[in-house]
Amino acid sequence: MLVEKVDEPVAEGFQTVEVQDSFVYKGKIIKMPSDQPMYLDNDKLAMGDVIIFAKYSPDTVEIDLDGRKLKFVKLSDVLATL
Amino acid sequence: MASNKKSKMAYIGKKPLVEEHYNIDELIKAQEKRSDERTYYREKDKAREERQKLIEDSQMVVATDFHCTRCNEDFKTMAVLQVELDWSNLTQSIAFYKSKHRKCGSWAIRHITDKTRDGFYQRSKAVVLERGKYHNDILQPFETGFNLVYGKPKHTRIN
Repeated sequence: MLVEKVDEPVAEGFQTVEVQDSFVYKGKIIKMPSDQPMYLDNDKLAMGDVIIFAKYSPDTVEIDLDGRKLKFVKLSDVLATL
Repeated sequence: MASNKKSKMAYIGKKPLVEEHYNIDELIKAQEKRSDERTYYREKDKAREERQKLIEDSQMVVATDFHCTRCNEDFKTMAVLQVELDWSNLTQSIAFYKSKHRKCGSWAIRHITDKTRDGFYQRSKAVVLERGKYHNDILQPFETGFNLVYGKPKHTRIN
């Protein structure tokens, strides 16, 4: 699947705790294979889902599309959905 | 002499220190906070510079060792340096060498930054063998196997 970086809105008030450390990345799914559905455990992944995936996976590839930095992520590298 | 006697009489028990005054205490705490912050940001900048230097110093193309997790074997191949933006911290980059195992076609990775997280050192058989070669030399007296290698130490009775 193709994933883009989630831009966090800068807002005033309380700072929320992120479920994230330096081992993982957070990204938003923008493209998925159309021929077959993708499941993470029992949940079906959909476009626009925010996922947490392994940062240093050798199967993750960074690509440049229309000036945007995107990442190809393997399903086995996806750890969770938010 | 008279003034000394007066000052002694003014305080019963422990004489209060200047640092204990609430105003001075606040000043000291503020100064300590500023100092800590300065140290924190200086160390952060230093770490970032070191990281950048590590990336700049690493070779563009290199023949290095990899470990294939699928076949569970080591292999040596050419790899090209890849530098990517760190999504979890946009002020820094991550760098690594990545190569494909010819037998099975799976990707293997070697880290340039965050070397402590490089799984190669845990998985590679060559590294384990290298570690085992010098195992006896670094064996400590409290570790298992010391007596076997160096003999049981003779305890002397101290009178």
